[in-house]
Amino acid sequence: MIENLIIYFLIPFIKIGAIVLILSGAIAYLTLLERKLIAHIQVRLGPMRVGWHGLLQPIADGLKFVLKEDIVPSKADALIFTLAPMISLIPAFVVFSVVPFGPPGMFEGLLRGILSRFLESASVERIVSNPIASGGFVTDINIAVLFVLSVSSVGILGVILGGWASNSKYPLLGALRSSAQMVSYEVAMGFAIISVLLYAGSLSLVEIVQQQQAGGWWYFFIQPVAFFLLLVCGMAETNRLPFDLPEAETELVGGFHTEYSGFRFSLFFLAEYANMITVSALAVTLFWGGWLPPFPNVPWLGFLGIIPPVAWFLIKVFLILYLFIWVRGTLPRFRFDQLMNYGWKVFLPIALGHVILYAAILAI
Amino acid sequence: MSKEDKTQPPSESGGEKSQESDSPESQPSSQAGESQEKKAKSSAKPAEAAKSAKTAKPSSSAAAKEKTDKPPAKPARPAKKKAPTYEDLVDDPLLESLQKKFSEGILSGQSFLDQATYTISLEVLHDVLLHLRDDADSDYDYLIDLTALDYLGDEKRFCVVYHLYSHQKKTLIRLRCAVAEGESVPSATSVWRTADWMEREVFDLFGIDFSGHPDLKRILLPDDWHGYPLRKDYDIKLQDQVWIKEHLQIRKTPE
Amino acid sequence: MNTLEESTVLDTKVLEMNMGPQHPSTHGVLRVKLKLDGEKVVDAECIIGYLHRGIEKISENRSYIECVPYYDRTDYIAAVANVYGFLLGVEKMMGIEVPERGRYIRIMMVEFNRIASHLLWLATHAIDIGAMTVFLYCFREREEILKLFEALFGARLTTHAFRVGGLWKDLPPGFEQAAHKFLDEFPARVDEYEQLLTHNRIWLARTKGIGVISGKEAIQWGLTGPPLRGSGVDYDLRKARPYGGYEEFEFDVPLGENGDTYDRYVARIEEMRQSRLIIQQVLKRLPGGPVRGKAPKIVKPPAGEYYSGTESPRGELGYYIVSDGSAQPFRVKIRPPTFIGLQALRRLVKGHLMADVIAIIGTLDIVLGEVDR
Repeated sequence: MIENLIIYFLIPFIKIGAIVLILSGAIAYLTLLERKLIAHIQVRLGPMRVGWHGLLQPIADGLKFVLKEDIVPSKADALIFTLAPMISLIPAFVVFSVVPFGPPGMFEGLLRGILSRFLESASVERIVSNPIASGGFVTDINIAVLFVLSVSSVGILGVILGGWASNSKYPLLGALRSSAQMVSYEVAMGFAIISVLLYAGSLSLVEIVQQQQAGGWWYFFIQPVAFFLLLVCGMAETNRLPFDLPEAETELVGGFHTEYSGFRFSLFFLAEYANMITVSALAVTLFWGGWLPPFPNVPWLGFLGIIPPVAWFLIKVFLILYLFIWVRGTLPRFRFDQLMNYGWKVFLPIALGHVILYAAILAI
Repeated sequence: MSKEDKTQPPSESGGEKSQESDSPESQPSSQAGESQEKKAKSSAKPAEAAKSAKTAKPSSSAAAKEKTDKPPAKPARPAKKKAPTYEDLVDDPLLESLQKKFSEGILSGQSFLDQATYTISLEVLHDVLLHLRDDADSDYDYLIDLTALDYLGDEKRFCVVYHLYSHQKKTLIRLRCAVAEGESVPSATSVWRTADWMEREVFDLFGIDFSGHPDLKRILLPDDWHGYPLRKDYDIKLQDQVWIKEHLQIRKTPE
Repeated sequence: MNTLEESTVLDTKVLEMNMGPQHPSTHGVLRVKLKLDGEKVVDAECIIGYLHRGIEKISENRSYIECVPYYDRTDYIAAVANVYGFLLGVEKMMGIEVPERGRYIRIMMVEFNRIASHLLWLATHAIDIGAMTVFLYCFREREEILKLFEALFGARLTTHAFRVGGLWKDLPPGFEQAAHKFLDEFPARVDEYEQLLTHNRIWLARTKGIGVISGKEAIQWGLTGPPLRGSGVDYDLRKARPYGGYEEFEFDVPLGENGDTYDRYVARIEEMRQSRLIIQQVLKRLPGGPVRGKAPKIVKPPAGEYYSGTESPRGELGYYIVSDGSAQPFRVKIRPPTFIGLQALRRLVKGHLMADVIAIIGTLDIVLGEVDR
């Protein structure tokens, strides 16, 4: 009884709490990272005033958001207007429940050390041997990939509702754009992931990483095209430049969040960056071997194992985030119809062809 | 015939104009404000200068200032260089062809500082513009500018000024057309699209009506503004008090 | 989303949208009333005048010398070029000769101003289309030019650059070296922008075939400057009606072919390079002597009228000066290139998407201070 309580309640609760806290911090500092990186790309310094090299800037920003006046436009639909940012933010966090940060059994030693003080060894072993308790993830479900896709698309609902509820023209156009964008890029993204699933033969993200370990190759080296598809579609999904049309500030003022301010705006803001991290984590898990070091089975590269798996995971996520930011500093913005054209006429056929090609190869 | 016509409208040339435009200012009208008086005060000197310009007598010029520079505010005295004057165009093919076609409609052709000015009567204005654009010999395909001048006190108070340019011949000409208050000028929008906003601007700031303009309304000032600011009887400090009170909530503005 | 054919099935309504006067990319207080079908522009009406200060009326109540600073404030991005046009007219009417050194320095500063203005245009045009980095790169170079302005004129933006008869004072020590340094570095910097934009597929997709206007039509609409030359019409006042001594310098007038946003972009980029060549020629031949000719303390042009047209960075900037022989102009009519060019917006955006409106406003390179005066 107490073991089940610990396995299914206490430990996940602690893990979820840790993830929410760490993720919030990560998002806050991701904004700083982005500002700093873009600043250096553009030959300037970025935030320098708050803390050493602006290190406390995210905290100042957060405070500012919270302390600002909370404005609901008089003609807006107040209920949906309030709900929309939450609908946008929550799925972005929920997705992380299935993303593996480390291998199964990652917390074995730690758990054993702590629990053996309170419980007898048999029940300690029972707890420790349970993958949910000791693994480097909140939970491992066998439809994890589907879960990620479905939950993350709920998030865009928040954008649409926010744009609609504002009762203003610019947000409405932003919302329209984002719904169209979501539909067209979700499909291509799904197909890009399917080719991985075909290869791995599992929908569980943990399993997929383990397959990459067994194969000795990250899937990136096997299916680079699918990776780039996922990356581009990911940029589109997260409304990043060159696909930031729903919030294109030079056209739609602020897009769907034109009417939002203060805390509510900050929720949208957090959601965008959380989504960036989600997509990066997904790409790392599917293509860059999750927590694995490069070429995990090559013996003379064994020294890379010194770096703990979680660190590998974080490094890789950081690299992809860096790519996101780098692209933002370089490219102009697509036009709306061009975006749709690329989605339906370029990415979808490529993704489809890619799936068929790999299916054929695997069948032979 | 045409020669007499030409002799008549020197009233259009620079020298007399200023005199005439100055004359009403000396009798301060009720509407005329400070600026008018200021101008009127200084009108004695400019009138002289204007006259001197007309008679091609040397007036203020660069070389003259050499000595007079040190004692300040001394009026310009003898000069080596002649001040530019209006000269009648001689052997000007465009003037001749225009006069042939429109005979009495073309009142004069003059040049000032090598810029040809043709004075045209309002009746033939639109035809002249069309002719200038379409005729292969002139081919003035580009309307540089369209504006108006206000010679307050003249019989025909306003003067609409067109600057035309021919990309083919690379020449610039100026057309002037005197318009009385209340008269409407045929719109040039059908000749050059670009005349659209220019005419709206003239309408906005001078209150000259352009007949045939597709959308003649105020452009720079608010739609419900009263008065035409670039008219000479509109003082620089004069404002539409009602408008300001209503829209800007400023209770007191300088009189 | 933006198909007109489907409209028979479901009843659709034209969406009327106000772009501006407070909008991030209308370059000031321009208000465009858009009629949208989905995102397709059916009609666009410009509403201007939010920045109207009545500069022409003020001019009639000031002396000629007092007028000059006001023209700084019409097109504040190209203040030097604006003052230049007016002073050329006044000097021509009064027959004032500007000494050679003064003339050369004026041309140099106007060309510097042209580069600075085009840099600002490129910066804002690029950021409107989403290329954020070019924006800051351009400002980096513009800063160097503004420093030169500050060294010579004592001000960076509204410079009150020239005086009747020449310049206020001679070049400060070190100016030429700083100018040379800037000019030596500049081509590499322009290459940098081009690297980011000219062959960028997204940039091409956003600018090619957008806002196309033929040369003949551009003349009809009164477009001048780069928007006209982008359509292939060779009309640059520095060549067509040389003024102020431009005929002494060698430079090319870059022309476009298709008359689209991309061609106008290329034309302006090339113009910056040509301006650099002009400045280099000026610096090479810069004669000694005074920078200011003999000009009277009280400027009183003889009664008459003169149209002084110059090529400002934005197009043909004309000053129609009418004098009645007094110390105050009877009338000064400014022919602002962008006021007249902005009319064409309606024609250019029709049938394009909303995002293209931004690109087209950018390509016309408007300055609202000049549009509204």
